[in-house]
Amino acid sequence: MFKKIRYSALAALAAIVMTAGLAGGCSQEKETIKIPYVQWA
Amino acid sequence: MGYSVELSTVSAGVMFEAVATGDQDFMTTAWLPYTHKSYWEARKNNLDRIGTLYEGAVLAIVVPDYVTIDSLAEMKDHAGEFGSRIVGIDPGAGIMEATKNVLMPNYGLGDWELSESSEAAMIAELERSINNQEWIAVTGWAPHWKFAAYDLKMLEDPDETLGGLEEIVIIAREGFREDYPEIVSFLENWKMTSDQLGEVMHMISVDGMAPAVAAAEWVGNNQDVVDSWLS
Repeated sequence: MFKKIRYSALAALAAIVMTAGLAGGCSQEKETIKIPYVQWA
Repeated sequence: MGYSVELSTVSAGVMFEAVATGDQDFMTTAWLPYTHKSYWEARKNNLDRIGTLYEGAVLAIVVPDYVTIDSLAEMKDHAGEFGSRIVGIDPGAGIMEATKNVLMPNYGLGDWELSESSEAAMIAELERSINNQEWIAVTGWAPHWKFAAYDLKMLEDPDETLGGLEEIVIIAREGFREDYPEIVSFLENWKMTSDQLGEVMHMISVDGMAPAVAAAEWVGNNQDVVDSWLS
């Protein structure tokens, strides 16, 4: 149960950092940033 | 910022090793000081802790905010209001074992009932009690979407019978700070509250949205928050 909830949280965080900060806002693409994440802690 | 981003799902040990060796750039899902302590201690000399994006990851007994007590130590004096009962979840969950074997005896609740149910049944009973303005105590944890859906509070656990607080932290490879100062500035500003994270989790856990879709929608609905991270 706790693992399932953590999964939701951690997957969301990985997606948010991509969506909110790094990928948007500029039409010219720069380098690739590599981000590993765990599905549950 | 215009970067291409490559996400990869790995185990905790691989996550720390890949960042420590510089093969990957940074992680956003490290739990400290408890869950990932051994990985952090083993590789911290090759890692750079950038920031804390979520504080207060915790197990707790949760009540509606109209309940007038604030601590588990006060529960035993309100057996009538609570019906001498804590509403739990699946019997095999760690929080159930800790509540039954440690928390309840510690706070004088050894003769109370810990109801076994499921997360869905627990939430349904919580909602029913809130609608009737009745007292209820449930086994809970944060982050969780229920904090975004209802007005709730976690009862203080002065003896830490359910463990201590954890943080979700951002850790980068050596040299990343110098290579990408604008990204580090963003990561240092990126902090999420329980309610904010709960909204995204609600979209994923209850609405059934894929994480990337939920994240994009949340970002679109909270552009002012995101802009503050990027400023």
